Amino acid sequence: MTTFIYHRLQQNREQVFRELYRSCYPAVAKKLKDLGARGEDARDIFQDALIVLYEKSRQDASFRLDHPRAYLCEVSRRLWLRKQGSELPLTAGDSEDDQFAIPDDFYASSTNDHRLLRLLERAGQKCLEILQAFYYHEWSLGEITRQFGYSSVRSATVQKYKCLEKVRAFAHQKTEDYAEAMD
Amino acid sequence: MPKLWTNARRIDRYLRNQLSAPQRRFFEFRLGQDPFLRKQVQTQRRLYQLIRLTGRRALKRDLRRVHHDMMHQPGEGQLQRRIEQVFGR
Repeated sequence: MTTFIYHRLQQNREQVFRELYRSCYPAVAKKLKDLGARGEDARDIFQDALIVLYEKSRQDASFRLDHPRAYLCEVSRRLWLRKQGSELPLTAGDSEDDQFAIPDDFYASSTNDHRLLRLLERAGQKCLEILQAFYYHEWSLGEITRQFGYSSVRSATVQKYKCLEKVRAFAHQKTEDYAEAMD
Repeated sequence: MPKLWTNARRIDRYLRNQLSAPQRRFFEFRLGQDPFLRKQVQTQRRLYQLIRLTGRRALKRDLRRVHHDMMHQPGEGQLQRRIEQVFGR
């Protein structure tokens, strides 16, 4: 696993997650139990830590996962503390390029967000998948063209903007308080 | 490409830091002058955030399935026993 995790997650995300389950989940579960977590808490937190890792690798292709167990233990500890509403104590190692950083919005979604998200998920699965591929998974337009079967990058680009407009119009139409939610 | 998408594309390039320095300065000048454009940028930024949150939710669903497999497949007995040692059955 001592490699640029970006490429491995790009090639076969599920297999990497399974390997990380085998090599790291027992240690993370033990750490979380020591912090007061139950089995179902540990399950949720470990999955969230894998999501943090995935997002980190999308944003920084040079990120190396040299010590996956230590990384996932620390991210899980922070997630657990945040979920408990604890302020994370700053340590000497904390800085803006903190490799264990958790996105600010990780547990911050409002009820309004959840309602909008459920609506967006019903707006048209293919459109949402294209937009997720571009804005969440950070695929290039070339990859989107190949994976979704478009004839050219230009077709994929046009489709992406059509989908953005569709999703925006859908959310606008379906939620009376959309304007408020967008503020 | 219709005007609506052209505008969305320009805002997209601004939000993803893909404009050149002069293009960015010009865009920000327009932002200062045009409240409608400011609102469009704000809406598009929020839409991206919501799309990313749906991506995260979809990934979480995939991980729940992976977890279920890992905790139930006969071939993963060693992992299952180690988790049982931590939390019991």
